[in-house]
Amino acid sequence: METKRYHPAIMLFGIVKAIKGWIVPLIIVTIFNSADNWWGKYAGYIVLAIILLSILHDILKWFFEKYATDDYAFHLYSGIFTKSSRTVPYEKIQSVTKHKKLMHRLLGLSAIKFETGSQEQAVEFQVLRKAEADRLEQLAKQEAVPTQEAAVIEEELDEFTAEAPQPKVKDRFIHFKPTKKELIKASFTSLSFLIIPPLLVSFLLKADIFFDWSDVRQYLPLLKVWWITGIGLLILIVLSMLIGMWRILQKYGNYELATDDNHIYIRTGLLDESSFSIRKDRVQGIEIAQPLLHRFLGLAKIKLITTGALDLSEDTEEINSLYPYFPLKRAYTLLAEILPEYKVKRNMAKLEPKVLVYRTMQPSIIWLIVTITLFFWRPEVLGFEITWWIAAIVLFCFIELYRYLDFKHTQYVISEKFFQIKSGAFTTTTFVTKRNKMIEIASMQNPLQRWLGLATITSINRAKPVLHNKIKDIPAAEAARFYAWFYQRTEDVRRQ
Amino acid sequence: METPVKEPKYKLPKESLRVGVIGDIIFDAIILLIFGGLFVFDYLFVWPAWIGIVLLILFIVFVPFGVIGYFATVIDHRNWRYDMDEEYVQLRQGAWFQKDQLIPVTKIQSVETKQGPLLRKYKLRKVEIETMAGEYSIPGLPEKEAYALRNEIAAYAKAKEEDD
Repeated sequence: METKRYHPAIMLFGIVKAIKGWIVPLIIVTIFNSADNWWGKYAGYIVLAIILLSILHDILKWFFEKYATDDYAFHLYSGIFTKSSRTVPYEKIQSVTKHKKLMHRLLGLSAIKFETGSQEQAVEFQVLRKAEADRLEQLAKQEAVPTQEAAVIEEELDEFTAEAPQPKVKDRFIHFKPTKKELIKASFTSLSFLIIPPLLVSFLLKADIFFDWSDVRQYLPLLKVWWITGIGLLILIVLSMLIGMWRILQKYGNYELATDDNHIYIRTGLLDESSFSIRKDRVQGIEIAQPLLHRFLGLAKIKLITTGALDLSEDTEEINSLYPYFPLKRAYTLLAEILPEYKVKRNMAKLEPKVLVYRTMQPSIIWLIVTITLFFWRPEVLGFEITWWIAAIVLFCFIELYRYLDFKHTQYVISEKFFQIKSGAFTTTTFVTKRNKMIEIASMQNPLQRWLGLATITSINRAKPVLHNKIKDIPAAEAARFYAWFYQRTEDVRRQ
Repeated sequence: METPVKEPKYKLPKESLRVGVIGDIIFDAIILLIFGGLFVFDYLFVWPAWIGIVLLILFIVFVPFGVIGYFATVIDHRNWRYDMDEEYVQLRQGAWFQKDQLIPVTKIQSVETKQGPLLRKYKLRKVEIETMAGEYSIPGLPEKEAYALRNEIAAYAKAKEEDD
């Protein structure tokens, strides 16, 4: 077994990261520093020392940290003074995320992360040569494929070593790649162009360091000329849209969703590229979410629930959500294509009408607090005193509407192998999981529910963090059925 | 169509109620001591009047809570149930707010028994079960039973599912 150092470029990445993280504080304490005390004098040196220490740390780490691979596991050796070693068997790996930032791509490198479970830390390689990253990914995948298909792996391996940038495995099928039209539609649905005007206003309000508002005042009459105002507005709108489109293009311009017999592959990102792969049977559940605007436009977001967290670092997007602007129908057919094991039901059981009655009659604590506060405090907004009883009525209507929508959207199915629930007032979320993927359940009943013959049930799934899904006020008999149904769980669990 | 699950049948022993009540008494005694100390300081150092009033209000609020606490301990103890078979651990808690939990043994990661000074006096042990989703504890079983339960769970939990 050959132990290896990490790629030396990891030090370069460390240096860049240290400088990127501390450059702003450094500039502030050196250039913009007018403090007269001892702290002001030495602050610059302190920040500089922090940068140097962190770089030194990265260099030492490179000297002392090593890794090795064999047929069964990763072996990781770390620690400068206290040595530690960690062995992670490939069969523990839940999913793989590869990430290439612009800098990775310029240097022909790649970062790769192997997620192992809800609680354990992931195995992460921040900088590797592309071929090495592919080799590790392939190693980890080996376990996934039953032995009789070993021949296929060998073929794949051959193709991986050949320098194809995106290895074309024969049975890999691309399910979805957004077209230009779909990208444009997405950029409108994301509403990300709406953030530009507020940004601009807040910038203008803060920009008085650079110019004086009184100097600007003489140009204000120009706004009365209709075509100047018109052109100004037009430029603003076009600019906002372009920026909105750029943001979507950045994320989904290069998007691809593909599968083969055993795995799902997602690729995303234009400049910073991320790709994600997971074995189909490691998917813990599916979430179909529809925020308000998505509902109006008939679109849906799909998210795969997986055991590991899927962002490679804080500044990358989670990529376990499939393309978030599918038309709902397409979302369902696509799910059937990529995860044929999951059967998402369109007809679900609704809550009994008495639930709505009892929920709308429940006193709302938020309403009470707000009303009492307004009654005594009576704040003024823009010079108008808020009439407390009007605010109370408006809030009351809003709360009742919220309750009604939540009631209307709450639905559930406990079928032979699946548990499916839908919830949410404005954003509706449908969650589907299989009985053998649920790791625990609970059923609860409070006195009022007992009187009305209702109960609350909770399912718990593996995810990072652990995922609790709750549905309130289903008939008590259904809760008992759910309990008994889960008790039969062993029927569809394969023991090792 | 599904046969209903058998209700969990094992209760907590009487001694564990005693431990619970003694725990409550100790807790209340400490709180009373703190209150007493504060009132003494208030009197000795002539703190502003409002502090005395706040203390008094807190004390008045605390007394009924303390009393309810004893009832809650008794009711909780009476309604605690647990059970286990080869495949599941079942826990039930609460009378008014009842909660039933069903935990597959394959998802149990560790079982521990623990004992504090109070439990030791009554020869009881606490059984703590750690699963992928969280931690659960059975608050006080006779030592022998606790060990037996631990061993039983540990033996069943050895089985692993393909996924784990």
